[in-house]
Amino acid sequence: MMPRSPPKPLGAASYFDDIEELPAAFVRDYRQHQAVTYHAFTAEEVTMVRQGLLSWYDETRRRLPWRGDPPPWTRTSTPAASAAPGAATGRKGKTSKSAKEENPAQPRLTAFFGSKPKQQQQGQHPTEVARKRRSTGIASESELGLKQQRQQEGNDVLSLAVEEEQPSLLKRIPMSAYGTWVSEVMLQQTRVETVIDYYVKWMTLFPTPNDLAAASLEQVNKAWAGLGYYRRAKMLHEGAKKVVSDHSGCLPGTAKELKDLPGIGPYTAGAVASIAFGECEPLVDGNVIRVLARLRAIASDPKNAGLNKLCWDLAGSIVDPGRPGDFNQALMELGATVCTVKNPSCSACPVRTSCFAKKLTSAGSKGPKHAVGEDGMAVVPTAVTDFPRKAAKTLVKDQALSVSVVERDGPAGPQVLLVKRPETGLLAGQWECPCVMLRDGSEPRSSDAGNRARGTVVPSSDVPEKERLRLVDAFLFCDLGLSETLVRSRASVGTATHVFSHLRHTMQVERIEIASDPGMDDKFGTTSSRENRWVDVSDMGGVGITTGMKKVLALASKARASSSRSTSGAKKGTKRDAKRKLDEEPNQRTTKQTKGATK
Amino acid sequence: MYEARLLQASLLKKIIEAVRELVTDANLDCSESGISMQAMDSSHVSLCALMIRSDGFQHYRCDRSLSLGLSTGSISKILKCAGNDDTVTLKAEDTADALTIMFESPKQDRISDFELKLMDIDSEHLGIPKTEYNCIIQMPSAEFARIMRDLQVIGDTCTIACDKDGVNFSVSGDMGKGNIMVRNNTSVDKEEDKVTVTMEEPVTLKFALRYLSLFAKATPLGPTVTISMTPDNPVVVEYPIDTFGYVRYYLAPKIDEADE
Repeated sequence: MMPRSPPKPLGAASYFDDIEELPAAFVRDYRQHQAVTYHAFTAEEVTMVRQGLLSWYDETRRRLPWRGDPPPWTRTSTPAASAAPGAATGRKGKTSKSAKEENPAQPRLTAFFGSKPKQQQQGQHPTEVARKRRSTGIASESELGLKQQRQQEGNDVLSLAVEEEQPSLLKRIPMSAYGTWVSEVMLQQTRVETVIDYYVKWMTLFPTPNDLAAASLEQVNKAWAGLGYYRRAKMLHEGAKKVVSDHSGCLPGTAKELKDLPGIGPYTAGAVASIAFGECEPLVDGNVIRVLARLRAIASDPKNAGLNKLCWDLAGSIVDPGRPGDFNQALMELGATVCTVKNPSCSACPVRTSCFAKKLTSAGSKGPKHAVGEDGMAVVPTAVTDFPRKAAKTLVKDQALSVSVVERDGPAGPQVLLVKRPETGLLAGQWECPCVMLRDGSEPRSSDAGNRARGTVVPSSDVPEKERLRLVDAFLFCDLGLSETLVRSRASVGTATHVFSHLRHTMQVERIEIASDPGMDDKFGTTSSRENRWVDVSDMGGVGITTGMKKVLALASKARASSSRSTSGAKKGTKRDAKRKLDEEPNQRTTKQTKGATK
Repeated sequence: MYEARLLQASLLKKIIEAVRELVTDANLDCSESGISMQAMDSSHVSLCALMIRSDGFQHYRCDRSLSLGLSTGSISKILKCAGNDDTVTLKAEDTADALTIMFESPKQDRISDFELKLMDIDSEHLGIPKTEYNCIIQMPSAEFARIMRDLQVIGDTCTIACDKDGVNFSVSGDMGKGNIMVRNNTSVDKEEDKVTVTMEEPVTLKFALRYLSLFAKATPLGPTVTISMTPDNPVVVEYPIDTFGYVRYYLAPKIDEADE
């Protein structure tokens, strides 16, 4: 069902429908407006927007775990009811309309029930199950999660033997102020589809602020790994500690008090206060700015502080006092699903009758095309997407790094050395392969712009290989205290790039195999300045690694696979073949050569 | 070593008949606690879950958990060779590629054994989430089977509407419409003839009749059936197996397509 547009007050409706008669006046108003009051909502519009948005939200809202919905959750950005995949059993070929109505779609059962890992069968030996859980990376050490699961099992009318070993991943999560807070923080800069799984996992690991406060930063970082903007996890953790120490574990109920918590700004405060506590508080995020800028034809750049302020005022003026939480979510959801950055679906929009941008563009399409005023702006905007104006692109710093994937043979297959990043700054406290910055990108290089324009990967070769080696060796063998004599082979395995919002990392990946020294412990002891450890390649999921590192490890594992193949082949070949092979791959150097280069 | 002896071969026959038409191949998972099975039909619209706890067997021994991949058609053919009162024993070595099925007549004067080759079945195991059902209907299983049979004549989609007075099964098709209302009825002589509806909120869902009538193949298992529904979720149709197990069917509801 498409949302039905709200009952139109006579005046507005005729204005919209009879747009041909009015464009001149409307466009004139827009061109000539000076005062901010031009953008304000009239009382009539406020009621229309509220009604339209709320009834649209009730009909089409996405089903999401933090809204207290049971699974299955909506994993697409389209708001419509879940499309039905799978074979329809009804005969659809029938032409008559009634036949179509009587043949509703038949979704598959898999749309409702999640698939379990294949080998996992019920009735297995408990240790076997525990081992499997561990390997899936779904932390079963969360005793709390399990306890909760058991309690729920007790409540169930039909206790299903089928689910006894089901990790508590697929059930309804009750709504709470804490849950709202977690979801809002996760959703900052991150898409709903990505957040769902992290949210469910998080709420299983840390179901209450007390659990979160009691967890170590390490556990928190692990649960966040892959979601990006790691500062959010740290702030959430600190916030939870404060909630426990100052508010005895319950989130305060007003936006003002919420803002005092670490990591909670005006947006999160507004969201938690309105959604969880029903306070009549507005909120403004990127989606809301876009929706409001279009509704009110505000042609500013979204980074503009004035626009931000104006949006807060506008949002405050329209928030529905009866259902503030739903209204705010509706506004954001409209921005995410209908009023999108590109290709907004105006025909599906519940508030199009109040939309200045829509009216202006409908009017504009009737007027002279491409007319440009004296300020260089088009006289009339030609598309809804002209609002808000595009922000000037921020310069992305281009950083070059050298990443060393240090491998050794562990008791259970190959192991990789990970070091922990500092607790502050980029990717704070996450584990990574030893990394050395070759160029921090603060001084722009002349060739950069051209390269990026051509879409080529900027090679980091402008840092001389000798210099790179010096830096890498200094870090590995001095700072980390790795023994240089153990190095068996070193080979460059390629380049990976990872783009952050403000940075671009070009990572030159080098794979270093070292002989495992029986005396060598898991840690290098006190000589090392950074915390480090060896992790089984197969167990990498259990540590929690960042997306950038995943790319690096993928390169390394590809090289590992091909090297194990080529070494087995080389055994059969003659020595000369092996020699030629080395010559052909200038990057690959034996231990001897490495020593020569460093001396 | 795996060994399970059941006093009545007829019970095993009924169980296999209950799943045979819905599921062609399935893994029987045997563990210390009993035998279980989970399998979807070929179109992945419904799921059948079977459980027989070890206390239902006269003798039960399971040294190591096993997964026996079977063709339900084949085991059904073998079970045809058993008399209803025969004792049936299932036997398998821990690493066996065949399942031995032995029948003994009540007087011990006829003993037959069959070997059924096992298959490697790559089946998807679904995690069934805990759901609190808004409506739980208990009714005579024969009544349910009859309703399904009757409605199938008219059309292929059955609407089950449950409210506090009872359950309404309706169908419409090219030739017309059908409607069967079953009322709450607790004042009957026999416990199993009762119709009880336990509900929090009325629920109306649509299902493919084809599957519901396949579920009704389990009717011989017991006198009652339990139907549990909650909006936008699969229905559960459960046939208890005495006191020591069940056959449960899950079926995804049909969803009205959104207008363009």
